[in-house]
Amino acid sequence: MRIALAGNPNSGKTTLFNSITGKIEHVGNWPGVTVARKEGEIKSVYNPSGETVQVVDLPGAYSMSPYTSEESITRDFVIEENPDVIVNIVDATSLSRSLFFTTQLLEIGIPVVVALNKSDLKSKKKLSIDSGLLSEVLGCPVVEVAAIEADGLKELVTVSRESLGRKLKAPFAGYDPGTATEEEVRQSDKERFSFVENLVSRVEGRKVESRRQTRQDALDRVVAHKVLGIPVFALILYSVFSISQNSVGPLVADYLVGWIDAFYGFVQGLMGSGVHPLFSALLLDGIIGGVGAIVGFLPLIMVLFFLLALLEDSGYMARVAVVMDPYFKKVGLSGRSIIPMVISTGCAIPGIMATRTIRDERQRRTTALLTPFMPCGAKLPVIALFAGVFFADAAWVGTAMYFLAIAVVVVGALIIRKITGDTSKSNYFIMELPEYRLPSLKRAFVAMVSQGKAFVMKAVTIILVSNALVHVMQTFTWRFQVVGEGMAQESILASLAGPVSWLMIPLGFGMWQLAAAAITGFIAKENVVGTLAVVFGITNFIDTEELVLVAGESQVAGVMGLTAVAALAYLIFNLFTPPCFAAIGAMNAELKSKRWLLGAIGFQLGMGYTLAYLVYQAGTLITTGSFGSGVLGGLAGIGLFAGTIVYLVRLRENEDLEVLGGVA
Amino acid sequence: MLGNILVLLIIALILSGAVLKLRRDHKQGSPCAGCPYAKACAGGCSQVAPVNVVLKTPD
Repeated sequence: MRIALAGNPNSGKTTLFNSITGKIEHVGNWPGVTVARKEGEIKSVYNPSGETVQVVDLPGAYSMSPYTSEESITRDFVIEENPDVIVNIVDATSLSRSLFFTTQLLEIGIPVVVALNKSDLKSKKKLSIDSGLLSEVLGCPVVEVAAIEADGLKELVTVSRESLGRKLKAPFAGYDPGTATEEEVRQSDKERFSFVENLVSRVEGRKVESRRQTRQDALDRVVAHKVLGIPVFALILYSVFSISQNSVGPLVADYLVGWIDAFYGFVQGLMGSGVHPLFSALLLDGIIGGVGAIVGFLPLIMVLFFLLALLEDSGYMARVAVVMDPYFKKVGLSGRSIIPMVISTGCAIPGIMATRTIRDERQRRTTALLTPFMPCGAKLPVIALFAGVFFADAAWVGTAMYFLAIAVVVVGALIIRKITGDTSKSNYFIMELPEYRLPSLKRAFVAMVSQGKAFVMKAVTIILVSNALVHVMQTFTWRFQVVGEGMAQESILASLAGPVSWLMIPLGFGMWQLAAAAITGFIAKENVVGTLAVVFGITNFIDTEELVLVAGESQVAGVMGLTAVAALAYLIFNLFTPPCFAAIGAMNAELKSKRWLLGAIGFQLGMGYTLAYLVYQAGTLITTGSFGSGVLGGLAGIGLFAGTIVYLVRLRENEDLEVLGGVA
Repeated sequence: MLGNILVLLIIALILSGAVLKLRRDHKQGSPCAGCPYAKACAGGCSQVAPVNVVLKTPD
């Protein structure tokens, strides 16, 4: 038996899915978190029958109109998945909004069970719902549940099983989706709204005056304000980085790094001097050291994700989307573009996938191209490393990277609009603001553990293999002879990364080791840290004695041979050049055009290079009074990038003129 | 000599374990090991769209 969970965005589908299946899918207190279907099996505690019951969690939708793309996705899902029963999750605190979709689901012909979710909030909101009457009018069972408290789930599963094969009579007969015109759909929707309003007035009792300004409204006047909202966001982000990088994070990291150090020493002692130095170095520096350098950042990452999960659960992230909306619209992006970008702060892949909900093709592609600029979780160790080594763990570095990313997105959107021409219709971004609530520590903990587990899995698989390969390539020449003392340039790694490092001279980091780390970063961004640890022979970056993020930062900085300005440029280069291969694959899937994909990669490369160049050359000019090395060579590279953009803009303008000429 | 063989075996074991895990995840439809969203990109991140999803062209 298969049950599909369908409902409005932010009605609690994924929370219910997690509760009844025991899975840990990402939930967020804002609409649009789920963009793809998820499947699981109902836990036996809610399904005493013992029969296997599969549950499919679908993306949220407000209606099943065939004229909006995200809703047609849900429609296709429901019809093609052909579930035995649809459980329609209805937000009990927002009945009038939810029942529109319910009446459409009832027309499909598949048995529907309405789950009145958030029923625990009814008394708090002074609400009463006559669920018996509601069930009678809709012609389907209605079960009151509170997914967050796991209340009523057993009954919901039992009722769903009993509904199998039951015939339904839709209380409202709308249009035929196969033949209806857009006008007929619009007319039918109006009548459906009237039907729902009438139904709600019969079944719902509200004692709260909806026009009264609540404390939440007052808070939103500041937090979601288009101007005030920005410093509030900066302050919150700064606090998050400050806690994760300067206080709680390093405190926990201390213990972990201590264990890694002890393990390193234990293995070293066990091998003694009897093992060939090549083998011991591969195991100690290539594998344990490389992976340990990344795993050392685990507590910082986990604390950061814990805090971000608290923010998300509180309902704040939806406000960030509202704050950014007017700025994004001005540069030709959709208001919906914000959602993928906020999701990307966790991982770029779901962020890129979330662009599917954007209706306009140009805006959708532009968003998919710009979304990877947001610093994802994998980039955080890189930020933490450079903030620690070169900027004394300053929390402003991480905060600045987020704001720089937003600025890059805005500038990037303007450039792409110039290249492609703005053919988008003006659109409105309507987003339901979820209520503020006290964030759940349990949910934040679950999110943190899930992200932490993913981080460790990545470290012991792809990063471990990469580091071992880097170590071997650094140890041997192309003739497979061991690289001699002081002859590191003859290694396989140096010969591959060397030519690339020439291009980096104008950016202040023209060393093959740094070029190699940047290249391995395309496999996974955490690799930048792992590779730096391997090529510079730095076991870990966290001092266990001093309780600071990086051991002997001046020593590490000295080994790397970078100035603070060059280090900032290197950090920016790694953050704003193309993302990892997996994210490029997701871009390929969503852009659906090789030309767009190549353009996107070229654009990201150009943006990262230009930013790093500007930061290094301007920073060196300010700090030393003269430009850094390779200023003219870098200018030529940027000239090429700018020239390509100007050429593409001209090309598009000429095409427009030809079209106009043809029309005339 | 025995120490060298043992260390080599351990290295081979660790590396083959990591590679096998990557291969197994890939076969199970999670192309990016460890990625919590990997299964969402069914059949690989380079696939056009998840199962049964047909994106409509813009109006």
